[in-house]
Amino acid sequence: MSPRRKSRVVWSLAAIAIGLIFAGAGLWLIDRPDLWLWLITGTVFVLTGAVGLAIGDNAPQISWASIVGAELIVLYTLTPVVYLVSLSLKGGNADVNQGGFLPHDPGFTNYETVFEFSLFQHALFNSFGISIISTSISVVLATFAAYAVARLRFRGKKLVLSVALAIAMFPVVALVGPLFDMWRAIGIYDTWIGLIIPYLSFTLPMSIWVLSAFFREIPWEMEQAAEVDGATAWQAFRKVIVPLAAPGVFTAAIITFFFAWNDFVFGISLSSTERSIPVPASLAFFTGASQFDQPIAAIAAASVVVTIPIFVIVLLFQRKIVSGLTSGAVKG
Amino acid sequence: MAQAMTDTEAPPGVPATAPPPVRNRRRRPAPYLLLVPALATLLLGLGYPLVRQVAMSFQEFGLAQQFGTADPGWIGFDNYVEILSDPTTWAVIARSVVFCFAAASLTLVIGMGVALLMRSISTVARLILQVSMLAAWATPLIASLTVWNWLFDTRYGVVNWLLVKIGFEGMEGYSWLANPWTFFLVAGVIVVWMSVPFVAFSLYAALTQVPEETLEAAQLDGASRTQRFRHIIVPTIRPVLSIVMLLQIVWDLRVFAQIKYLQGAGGTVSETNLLGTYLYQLGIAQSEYGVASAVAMVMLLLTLGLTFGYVRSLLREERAS
Repeated sequence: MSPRRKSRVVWSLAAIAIGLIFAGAGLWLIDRPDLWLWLITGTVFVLTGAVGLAIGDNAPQISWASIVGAELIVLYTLTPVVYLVSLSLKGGNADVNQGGFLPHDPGFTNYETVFEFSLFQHALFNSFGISIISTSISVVLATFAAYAVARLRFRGKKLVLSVALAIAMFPVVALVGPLFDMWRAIGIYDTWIGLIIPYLSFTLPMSIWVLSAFFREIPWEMEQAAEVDGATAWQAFRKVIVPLAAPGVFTAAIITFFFAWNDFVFGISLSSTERSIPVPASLAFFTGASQFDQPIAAIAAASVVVTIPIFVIVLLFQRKIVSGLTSGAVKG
Repeated sequence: MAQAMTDTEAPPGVPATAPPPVRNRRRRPAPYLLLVPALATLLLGLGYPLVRQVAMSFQEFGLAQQFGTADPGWIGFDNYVEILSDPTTWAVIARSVVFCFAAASLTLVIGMGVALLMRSISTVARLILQVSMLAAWATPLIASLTVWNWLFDTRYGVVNWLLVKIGFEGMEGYSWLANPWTFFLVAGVIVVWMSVPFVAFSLYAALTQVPEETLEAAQLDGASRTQRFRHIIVPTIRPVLSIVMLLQIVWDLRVFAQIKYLQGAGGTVSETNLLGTYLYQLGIAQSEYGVASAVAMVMLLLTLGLTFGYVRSLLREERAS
């Protein structure tokens, strides 16, 4: 064991010990109102130690400052997420109003409330349907267009790309009004298709940009090389090109799905009833158990329910997303 | 879907032995056929609204015209003159630009930091960092607004509670949203929180392309960490850096939902309007459709002006490749 490594291990173990002491003290003095602060401090120390232990020896340049920086970032990104879950588990108005980070009277009542709310059930169904349909159509259309932009030479290519970019820049709010009027006039207000079309319009430009950058990087000659080696044309395409193109297509799909699933502005303006209202817009209609109840805990529970599918998708395909961005984002 | 693509354009039976330009001479309509579905969808969803926006910005268009009791008259640039001679508009523009640059640069700095970190830490630590980034990214807009607003709540907010606990007694019952400065602080914290993951992942992806050998060689030659960053890392990831910057400026300039939500939760509308909410207030709340359209056009021009440099360099790259 090199001296450098030895000192790192010693310091890491010390950090873990200090962290455990903090957390232990916090838990031991459980009636202290600032228990939360003690636990966080303890966690930061333990994590610092753990990161110190986990660091590979081939990454010697990492400093303690950057480890603490990383932890602060994790704290910044995760605190709201954890708090959302905590809020959703709080039991009733009294618990919410008591303040504090953790629920005093934890339970699943909010989730029951949410699922008894029939608008929410419809909204879940609508959101899934609309997002999946938008994503599929958008990816197919963007693939066609991006293939043309990336591989073929034709007049007006720059125009197509500039227009796509300008559309991506246009303020979304400004288009809601005219769309509302138009959808009313042709009778697709408050329908799935009435939401799918705007979602497609706003995600296509972005998808075309991402995908065309991606397709440009694919070594298309490999297809011919495979055919020279005796593969049929279909095999060459299937075994060589599809695996190379998949991550890019996947990234575009994720971006589109996120947009459709998260959209609030169109949802609230172009739909009004359970026929087509998506989840984010439906949250605006939440009310508490009584008129004076704040629906905050119920909204938190609904938000958790909405976040779970995205989170699962993202976790499952984490590596693919990162690799898709890797190859798509870097040109030449 | 990728399969369908080839079926239409490049039938696998035709081995593409010739370089692309030659091949295209043979089948000229193909590129346009491939573009048609996407363009048709864009036209369907955006064609009419865009044309109408542009037209309305030159028209007298209010509630009366909306209900058809009066004809919209063409009034030339009157709407533009009206908004541009109104000091409110300039205040909103100034606020938006400052907010946009503050949020975008903060996002980029943090995102860059995270990306560099992800590169240098061990797999386990990186995984933790990535998962927490993904959690922030995956949280739906409305959910994160709810929770952030509640974190900064005047009476029950965790932030005030914590500040009081660690000794800032004056923060008891502090209303973050009532004061425009802290309003934008909160808005900035939320906007940055939502944008960092995308930036961090894109930049991390770009960083994986930086040649390790070059960095080592530079280090052996005595280049400092800053020098290596400036002269090796930044040039390599420049394409990604500029597209991410461009997107961030575009998104932060037209930020709407976050501001609207926070205004509803206790901000003073007149002091906290950014372009997006200003447009909404004029168009939807006051039914001044013509004026609102003019604001939208000004906003588009402003966006184009701010991003002109990036757009030009992006298109130049396009030509080069």
